Amino acid sequence: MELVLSVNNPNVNTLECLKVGLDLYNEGGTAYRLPGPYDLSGALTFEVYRMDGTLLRQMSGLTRQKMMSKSRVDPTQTFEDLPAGGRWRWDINLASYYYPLPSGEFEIGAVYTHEESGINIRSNRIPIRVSSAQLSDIAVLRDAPVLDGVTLLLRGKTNNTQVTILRQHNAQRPLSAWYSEQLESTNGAAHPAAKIIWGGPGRPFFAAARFFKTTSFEPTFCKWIISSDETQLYAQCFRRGQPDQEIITVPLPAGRKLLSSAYYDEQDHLTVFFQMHTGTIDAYDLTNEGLIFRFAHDVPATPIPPAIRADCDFIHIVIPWRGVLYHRLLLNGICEEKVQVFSSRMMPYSCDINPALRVAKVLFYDGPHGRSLDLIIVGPEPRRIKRMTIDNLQVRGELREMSFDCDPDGRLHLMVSTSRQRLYYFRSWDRPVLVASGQERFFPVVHAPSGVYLGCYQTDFGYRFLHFQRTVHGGRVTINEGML
Amino acid sequence: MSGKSGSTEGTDEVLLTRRDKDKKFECKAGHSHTFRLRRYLVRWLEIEDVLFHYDSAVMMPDSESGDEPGTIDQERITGLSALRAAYLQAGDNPEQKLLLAGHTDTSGDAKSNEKLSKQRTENVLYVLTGQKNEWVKISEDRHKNEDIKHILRWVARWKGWPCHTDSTGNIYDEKTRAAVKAFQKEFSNTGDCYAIKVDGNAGKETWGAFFHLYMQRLAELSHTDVAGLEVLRNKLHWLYDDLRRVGCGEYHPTDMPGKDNFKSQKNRRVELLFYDPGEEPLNRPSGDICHKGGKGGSTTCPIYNPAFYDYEYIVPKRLDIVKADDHFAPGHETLEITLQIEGLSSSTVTMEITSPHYSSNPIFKQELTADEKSDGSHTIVWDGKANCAAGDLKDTWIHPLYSPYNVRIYDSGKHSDQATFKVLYHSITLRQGPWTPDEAEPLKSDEKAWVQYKLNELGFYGGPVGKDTDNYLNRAIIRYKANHKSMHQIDYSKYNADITNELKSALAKGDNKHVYIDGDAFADPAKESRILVEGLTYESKAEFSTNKADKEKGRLNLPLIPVEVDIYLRTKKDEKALVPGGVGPVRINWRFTDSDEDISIQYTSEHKKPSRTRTYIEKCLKLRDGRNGTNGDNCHRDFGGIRENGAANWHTPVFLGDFYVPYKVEKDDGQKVVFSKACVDVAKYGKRLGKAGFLFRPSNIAGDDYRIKAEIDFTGLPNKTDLESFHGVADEATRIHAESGVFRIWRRARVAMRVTWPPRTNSNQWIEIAEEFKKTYLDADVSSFVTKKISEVLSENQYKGIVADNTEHKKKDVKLFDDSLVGVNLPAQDSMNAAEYRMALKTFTSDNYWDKIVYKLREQMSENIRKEFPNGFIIVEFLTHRPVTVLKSPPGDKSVAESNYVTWSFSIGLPDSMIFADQRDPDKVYYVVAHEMGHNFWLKHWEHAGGSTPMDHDKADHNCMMSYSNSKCSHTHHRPKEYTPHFCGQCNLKLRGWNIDSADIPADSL
Repeated sequence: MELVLSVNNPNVNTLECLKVGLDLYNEGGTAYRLPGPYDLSGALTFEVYRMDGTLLRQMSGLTRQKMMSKSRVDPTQTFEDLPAGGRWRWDINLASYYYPLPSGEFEIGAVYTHEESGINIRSNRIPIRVSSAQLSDIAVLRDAPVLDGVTLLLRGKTNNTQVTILRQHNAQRPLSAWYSEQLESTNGAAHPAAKIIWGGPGRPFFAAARFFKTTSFEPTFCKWIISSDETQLYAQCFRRGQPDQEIITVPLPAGRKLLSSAYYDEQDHLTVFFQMHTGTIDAYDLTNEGLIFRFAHDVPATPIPPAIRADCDFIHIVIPWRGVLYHRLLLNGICEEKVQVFSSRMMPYSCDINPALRVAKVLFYDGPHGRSLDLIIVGPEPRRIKRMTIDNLQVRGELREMSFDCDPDGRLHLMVSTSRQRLYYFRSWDRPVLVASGQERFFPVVHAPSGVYLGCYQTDFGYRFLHFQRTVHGGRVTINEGML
Repeated sequence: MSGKSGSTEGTDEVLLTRRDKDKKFECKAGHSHTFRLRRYLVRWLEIEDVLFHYDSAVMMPDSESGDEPGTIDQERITGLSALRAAYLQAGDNPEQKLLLAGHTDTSGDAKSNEKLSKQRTENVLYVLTGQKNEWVKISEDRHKNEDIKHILRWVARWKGWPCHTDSTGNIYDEKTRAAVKAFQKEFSNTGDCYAIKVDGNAGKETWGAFFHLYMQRLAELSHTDVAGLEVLRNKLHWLYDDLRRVGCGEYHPTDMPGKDNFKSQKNRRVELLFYDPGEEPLNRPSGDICHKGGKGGSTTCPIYNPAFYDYEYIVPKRLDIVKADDHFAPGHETLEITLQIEGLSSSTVTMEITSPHYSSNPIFKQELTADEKSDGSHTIVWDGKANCAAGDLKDTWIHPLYSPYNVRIYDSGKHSDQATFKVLYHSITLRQGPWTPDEAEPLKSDEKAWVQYKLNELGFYGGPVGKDTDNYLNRAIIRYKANHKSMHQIDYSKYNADITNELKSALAKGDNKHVYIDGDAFADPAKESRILVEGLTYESKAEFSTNKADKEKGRLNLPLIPVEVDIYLRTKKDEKALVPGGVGPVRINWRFTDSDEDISIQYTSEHKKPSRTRTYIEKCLKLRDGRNGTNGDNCHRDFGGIRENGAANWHTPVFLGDFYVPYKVEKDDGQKVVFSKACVDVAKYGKRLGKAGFLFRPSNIAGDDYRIKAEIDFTGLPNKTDLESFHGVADEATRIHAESGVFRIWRRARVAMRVTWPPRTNSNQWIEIAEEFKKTYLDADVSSFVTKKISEVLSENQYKGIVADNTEHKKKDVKLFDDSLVGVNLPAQDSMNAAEYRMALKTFTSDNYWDKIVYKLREQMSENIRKEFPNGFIIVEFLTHRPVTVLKSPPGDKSVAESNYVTWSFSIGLPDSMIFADQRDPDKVYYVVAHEMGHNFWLKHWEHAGGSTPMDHDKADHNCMMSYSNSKCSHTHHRPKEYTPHFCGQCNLKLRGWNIDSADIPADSL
């Protein structure tokens, strides 16, 4: 038996994941019935070693299950026949097996084990190098066209080369990912088919699916990314991180600012929104033929843009105006309801919609030098408000970045970074936890589908969702290195 | 000796006797001195009624009045009784010396009278000393026929033999002969006699027979047998061993002294003279005939000189308590006092019962009836009921605590006798007591008390009836409601302790009664009883993070068991008698023993799988000086139990005070024991009379055990020493006691329902599940559950609503399948390879469906099921989705990777004792279910499981039920399907109720 490992690109960065190829040769005269290429039992394990020979981590089908799903790890083996002289091939993106690797130099090898057959084979080891990537921007999408997912679009730089990573997680367990694809080619050049504009007047963002269908899993992995430069708007669909050839390119309408809210339906019909300086929102269908105006809807102008989501029946608009203003529109733009659900004189910091819980999240604060925060959750009914007020946030330095979410039990979870280069996690019922330190920016994303996951960037680790686990005696943030 | 001297002012007086004649005295000059010569004192017993017929030396056994033959003179003591009195006098006064003196009247010749007097004393002496041959010789030599007839009539009266004769005079006629013959015949045929010649002649054999009967009667009068007379004889101390009797002839008549030739019955007498030491005659009589040959008279007689002697008459006992019961059980039997009484038939004779420890004596007083005080032997009976006017014995039976009692029988004169007797305890027996003193439920108008009573009856520990304390009632009401189908709440915070009509109705009907104590420990020290406590599970998700022991403390009452003893009296036959009124306020101590737990039943490393449960448990049982041979090893109060430190642990499982009416339980800090006294209030607590009790309040920690020992203690009583002596109590260990078997605390739980979704095809392993919990002293009843399909406990509409509200699925797309949890069609595999498809299915069915609805599903099912089954585990066995076929890598490779694939989601223990057990779980079923049940009991994860809480487990135990199996662990026994875990020591103790969050709970078993 022989096990041969190959690595597509042994030089990667902390934002991206390793892709490996593996061949198992049965060079003997005996046929075997062994755990096959689609086995998730852990017969095949990848081991990453530091240069001093110590084991950094092991990755296998077991870690894949554990880091992608909350359900139990099924050790059941799936057998196939490997005839004498036969060969099995694996092409694996280790994105689903574990977090991306931290920065450093390592060696990776594979082990294939099946005790009952007496097989225990090790592959060759390949040196790899992981360089730190400096994250500069991030876009986040939560939607559930089939499976509930959290998708990240990461923009960074490594070795003076820009990198863009598209990564999709299971929303319930965003530790490893369904896939993680770099949208530039391996030599750093932009992918010839990917069209994402960074540095333009607006930041790239995702369009959210406004439908739910269960005939196939494929819509899960289809993501529309919209970006713009000074004059044009671009929309492109990526399937499992691979860009479609087709790119929708339309001129931007004058006098309007593109909002980072868009949605699409089962037929991939996109709807985008622009806002005038008066606050009026215009909705357009985004087609190859251009933007087709659908309706206009008046909302007050606000310091930060409103959040817009749509589902099968309605369009939901949450406006951070003098508190929280909620509008519900029919899909044709007719307004059904307008409610000032919450009043506040404080400044809005962020405004978003959690589609899974069907609630709006709005964060108010009294400025970067302030210490007062109001975290507001509205929904599912408009008049259902949950609020967490922090009169005096116990941190030093200016507030830089903030993110919050509420869990299904209605508890609020907040992350705050400061000018002192510290990132803290606050729970509504306990004292803060230091999550990370030493950086100007962390790009925090609090994600609390049932457990609490703290997305943050760290130079040496890239971007990860860290699992916060509560215990009777307190809680701890799990880096999850060497978990199994 | 110097005489007594008393001094008056300026004078000295000295009493002298003739023995002092040579004594010298120093007298102070200038003082007046008085010397008084006193007489000696002789005490004498006059056998005046021993009539010697004229010219006869034979002592008659009794007297007959002179007027009528054959009748008894009721006023005189009989001759043999006088001899009995002599025995008594000698026995009571061993220092006194005896001399017999015989007398005649003045008729006849003086010399002959000298001889006759001597013969008379000899006759008496021989009867006194049992010298048969000598007596027969004298009697035969010097008797009259009157003597024979007198004796025959006496025998006829006494024995009832047909030897009576009415012949009179000194003739031996045919009547006499016939009577003698009848006597001889009867004598020969009587068992305690012997054969003599039956010829009608009163010869030597007949006189020997007479003597034999004299001895029998004397023995009878002396309350002994013939052989026992020897003991009495040995008590006689003679003035002169070689001169035991003197004949004084006619020289000392008492009747008409100085008159010669005077026939006088009175003068024919024998006197028994008793001399105290120092009072003996100065001169010894000259011989067996005193001042022989001379009419010396009294003035020269060394015995009868009136100048020498004062005479004190010894009153023969006319009233003698021959026998009294040593002890008896009043109210059950009578006290019998056998009395020998003579000559008091016309007197008032009274019986009186007293006790030196009773303040209002006499306890009983009553005059004897005419029959009871007639001459002869009588048995007086008394039932033991007092008739005193005051004191705590008024109108009730006497009881042991005033023992010993005195019974005194006396006449108005100088005759009396007394004896002592006791009332004693025999034993005590332990049993469970009633909740109320009258053993009935309180009136409903006393609402709280009635509710408490009913809750106690039904096994919910409602608290001491009529005493609302320690929040007992509130907690019990809530637990009752939680266990009742119409009052059960899904949201625990909605419970209140209001006494509603619904509650009262349920209690009245006796709903939800369950056994709270079983076994036979009260009756048998070798047996074990279980005291059952509800095994609580957490009610809401938030509670899972709280401290189990704290929650239990707020919800669970300590068990409450009323304990009583029945106190038995000892009968005359030393058997036991239950006489509540005769018990008295005796103190009963209550002691508790906590035996070391038998930990051999716990798992060890010697078992196939390396458990360390036994080692860990032992380590914990030793905390706070437990298990050191004296302190027991129940859970200490620092860990949630009630055991105190060391020697202080003697009163913990008791409700002190008056919580158990009518008993008041107190502490004795000296003996380190609690005690209560037997009830004596017959008016208020008639059914508790003669019993003592307390409310046993042990811990509610499973595994804790207690033995109860009740003992009678006489501490504090003035007659404690006596009482202990009477009862054979030498020390604490020998006190009358009763000891129970072991009462052990158990938790209880049950599986109420099995919900199939679909039915499992392999065994549920219920027995194995129950066995695991049994090791933690949790009785998990797995035998009485019902089985239902999911559609029988959840409507499709409810199910659709839950799915639609909590997932992205629309109601119209959802169905409730009986054979799988996910009720929507599964997405197609399309071009996903087998691994990806399995991952996608796992996410779709588990993360995005099952995980999102599980808590809401549980809530709805709880709401539906608890209406009928308010308590108990609900085990839902499910498959996540319908089986699918997984292809290897379509569209290229459409070969089957796995057919009938079903995702393994997870099994989970949910609030309100609901468990979802995933049938795809490869692990052993008992492990899966027991693990989840463990969660319901607040147990946290250990190895390989998310949310692992190592501090909740024995870190050295790698075989814990609360770990996950793992195929990659170095502990190879952790492999799925193979893992055979047990609860680790800390889980074991937590299940019992120990607070494992306490400081000092060991981190491991090392």
